[in-house]
Amino acid sequence: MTRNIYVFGIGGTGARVIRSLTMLLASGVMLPETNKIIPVIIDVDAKNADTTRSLKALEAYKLIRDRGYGSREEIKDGFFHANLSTLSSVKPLNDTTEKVDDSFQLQFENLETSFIKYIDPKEELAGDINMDFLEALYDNTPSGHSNFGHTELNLRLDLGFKGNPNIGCVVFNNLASTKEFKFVLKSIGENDRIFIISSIFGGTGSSGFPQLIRLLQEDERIRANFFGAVTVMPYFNVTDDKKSAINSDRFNSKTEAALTYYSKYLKGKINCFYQLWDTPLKQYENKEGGAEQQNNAHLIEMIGATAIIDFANKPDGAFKPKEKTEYFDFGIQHEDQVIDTRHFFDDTRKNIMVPLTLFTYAMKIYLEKIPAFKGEAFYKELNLGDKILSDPFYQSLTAFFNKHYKPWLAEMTDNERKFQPFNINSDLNSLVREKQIEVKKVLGVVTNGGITDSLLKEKLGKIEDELKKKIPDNEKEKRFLKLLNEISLECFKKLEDLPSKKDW
Amino acid sequence: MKKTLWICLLFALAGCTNTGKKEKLLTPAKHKIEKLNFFMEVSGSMAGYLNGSTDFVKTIPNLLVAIEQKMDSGTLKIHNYYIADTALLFKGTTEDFIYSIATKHPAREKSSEMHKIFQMIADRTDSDDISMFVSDCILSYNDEDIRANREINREKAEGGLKPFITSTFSKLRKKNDMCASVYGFNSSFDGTYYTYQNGKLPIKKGSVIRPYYLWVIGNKELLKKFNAQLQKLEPFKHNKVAMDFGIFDKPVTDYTIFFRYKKSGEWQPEHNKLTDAKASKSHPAIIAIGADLSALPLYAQDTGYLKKNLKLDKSNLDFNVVSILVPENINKADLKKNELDALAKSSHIFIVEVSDLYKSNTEIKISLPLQYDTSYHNISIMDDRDIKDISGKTFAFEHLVDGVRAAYQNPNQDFITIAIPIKK
Amino acid sequence: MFKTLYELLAGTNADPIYGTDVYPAVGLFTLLFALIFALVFYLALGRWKPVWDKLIHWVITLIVLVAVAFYFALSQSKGATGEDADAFMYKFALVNALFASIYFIIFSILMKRASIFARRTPF
Repeated sequence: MTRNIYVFGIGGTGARVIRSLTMLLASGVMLPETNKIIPVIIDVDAKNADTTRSLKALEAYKLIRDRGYGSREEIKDGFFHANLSTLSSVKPLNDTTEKVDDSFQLQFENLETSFIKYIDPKEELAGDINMDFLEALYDNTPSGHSNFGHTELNLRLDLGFKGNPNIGCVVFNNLASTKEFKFVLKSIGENDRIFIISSIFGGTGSSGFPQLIRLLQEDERIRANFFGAVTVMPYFNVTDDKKSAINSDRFNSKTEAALTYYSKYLKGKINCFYQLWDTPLKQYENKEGGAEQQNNAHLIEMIGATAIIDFANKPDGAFKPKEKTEYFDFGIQHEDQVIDTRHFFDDTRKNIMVPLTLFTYAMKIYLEKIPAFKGEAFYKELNLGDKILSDPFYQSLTAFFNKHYKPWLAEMTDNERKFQPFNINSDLNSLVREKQIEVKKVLGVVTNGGITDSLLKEKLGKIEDELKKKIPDNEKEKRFLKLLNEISLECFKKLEDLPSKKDW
Repeated sequence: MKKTLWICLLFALAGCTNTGKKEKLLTPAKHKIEKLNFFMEVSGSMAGYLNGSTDFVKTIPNLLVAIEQKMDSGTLKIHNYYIADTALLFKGTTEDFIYSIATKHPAREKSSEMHKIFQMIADRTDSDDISMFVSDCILSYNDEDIRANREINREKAEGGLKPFITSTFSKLRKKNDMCASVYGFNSSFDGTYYTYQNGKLPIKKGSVIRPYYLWVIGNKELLKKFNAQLQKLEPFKHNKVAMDFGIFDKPVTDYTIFFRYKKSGEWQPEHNKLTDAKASKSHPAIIAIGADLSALPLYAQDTGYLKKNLKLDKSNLDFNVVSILVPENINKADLKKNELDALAKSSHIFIVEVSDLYKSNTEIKISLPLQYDTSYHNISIMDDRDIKDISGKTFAFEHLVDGVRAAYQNPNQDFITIAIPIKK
Repeated sequence: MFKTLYELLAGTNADPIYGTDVYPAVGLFTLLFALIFALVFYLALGRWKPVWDKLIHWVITLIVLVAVAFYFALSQSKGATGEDADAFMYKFALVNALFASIYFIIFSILMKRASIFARRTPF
């Protein structure tokens, strides 16, 4: 476990893909050769609800992992085993005394202002030739006009670039001066990999992505590291709203413009370039940003997260040099309005869907079954009666399931195109879509009831008894996580295998 | 794995339980009388008993019939023999035998040698047989030896004939622990009496009482049972003499404590000991003790004899044998079921009253010194030539009895030595 | 040694057969029954499936054991003495039932840590 991977998520898409990544890692997806995964969300839209949500998920993950496993040992598998860390946990190569915040977010400075005021805070440029230049480049409808607030020069920067990459470029440049960015540069080690997530059609993402690459590769040392990126092309529309500066009609034209730019300016800078898109089926509400820009999770974002996994797990020898950038697409077996496990090919099934299935079983059991088993010995041995409602670890776990994972799954089910691998609200035997665990009867007597309460009680008791021998009482949280893992494996045994279909 | 372990544990524990801390009295294998033999001496001297209606004639046939009917619930048939020089098996039933005695006058053989007769009887008595023998039991050498030396019977009875008797009975004892009992009856006599010199003395009916004897020989345990039943038979009950040889060989030491019968005062029985005993003159402890005295000679089993002759060791405590009961006189309803088992093992019950314990840990010692019944000397005579002397007496009888007794070597012990530990 | 225990609570009985036969047999078998019940509850059932492992089950097991102990003591007394049931026998049976429950409680405390599902029964 020698290398770290820095995952930069730019803008709303970046935040959402990182959210998906968090879910995948929580379910135990394996990153065998990776030591730490350091997600960094870069968004000037400080109040972006997507970003906020992703940050909260990351923080919950971190707390669970710290409390569950401690920070001492290497954990190789299990739920929450991957070491998602903040920047501050990385020790930079030349140990500076300058500490950064223990946060997953990179903050810009001085954004609570309009663009023009950002460039010229002291209003020194009025009347200056540079001012004319700026006005030539950017729309400058004067104040008093009904369109004032939307003109480019007068845009409030802290609400994102509202689909204007031309503004974004300028602001992004100043990223280099932040304390955090300097820290990042110092922290990246020789074997570390770098991955950047962005959307091609938005404002923040499309402008920030190339800037970020450039800024990172200004450092000679880092230039040689493996760079990967995923760029997400349009997969949703927004409703028409004349009052909003965002117009989905303009998404495609912006995509074209960005792709042209990339082909020129990103040549030879990236080893692996992952590209994702889907036919836009859904219309989101037209929200310009801020706390109201909260889009539901989409399958594409999850697939974007699998790109990170793929990149992180690639052996060193499999990389082509940056001059020969490799491009990657993602395909499914069959096009449908509702996608489930059967639609994926084998690698994704094995590496992604199996852990998610286990995690979903664990969630159901943790939220619905375990509280009902409070009379059982294992419940008492783990002291759950006291702790489930009061201990921060269990509280975080409950919150993670209830406020992060479950909504994530529910949102993807609700979205277009639907992604519904699980029937979240069904019983455990019907949890995996298109694979019902049958209840077998002989002469009216149940011989195999699938995943029943009594099976769960029996297995939970036996597993806890076994684990107790290896994991002592002062590490009950670790034991509990392992218990969840083991019980979900027992459920999977009853399932036998993921659902599949050969003849589409 | 764990399941098989505890199943094994279960079986192991079940097997170990009740190893029986107390030893159950081993009841001997159901020992039964195999065969009954009856030998009647038919030498000339016996003729006088058979003439007319002597006691002999009245007693013996009735006795035989009673034995066949009642002994061992009437399951035994008697094999009858005439015995003198030889033993002759009578072919026919006991009824035929009795008829033959009454009508055929079988007693006309030559004088018989007692010691040889006993030998013949011994040879025909198998290990589980009981043999009965009726005779006048007059020790004598044969006619020729007497002709050669007229005094030989008197001179050599003790030195010559007695050892022979001893040897015969020693062999019997070794064969299967076989012992003998002898019972003496008196009868009238009408015929010729032969003196020790082989002289003839005519005896007229009613003038002289002549004793005759019934010997019973067999394995010790079977003999005890036989005797117990024999003594209850009507024709038997008027015997004048009763002696055992070999039945009693070691003193009675066993006893059982009745835990409730006649209990008074404070004491607890524990493995045949008395514990937690409190005794004082005002509140004595009364204990019923059962013992099996059936091996003792009959006279020693008599409650009157016992009361008179029991020795009580009062050095460590003050006690008395208040009464001695026999099982027939006890009301079984008074006893608990476990006590009934104790009763079955006892022939006598001693009611002991302890009025003081001087030491906290001592023993109730009861003993009965061995006393031979020597009254048989009174019916023995060494000179039987005068008719006046011989009434109720048998020539050389003492030597015959001594001879048998010598084969059983009764050691000089007590009849009874019972010691019951008692502690406060 | 069972004798001392029984006599302590039930008092002495004149018939020595209690001391020689009844107390040892009843004492040993009662101990054995309690052991077996505890073994089955904690190790056999308690490590197989959580079907008979809760407090209520334990209480029922205890009650059954107590009933068995009572009946066993009574029947052994009747058999050994040949008598009908009397006051002493009932007292002895009750004492035996008490001992059985004490044995069971002690065995429970000892064995529960080896159980999986009954580990926290009765507490």
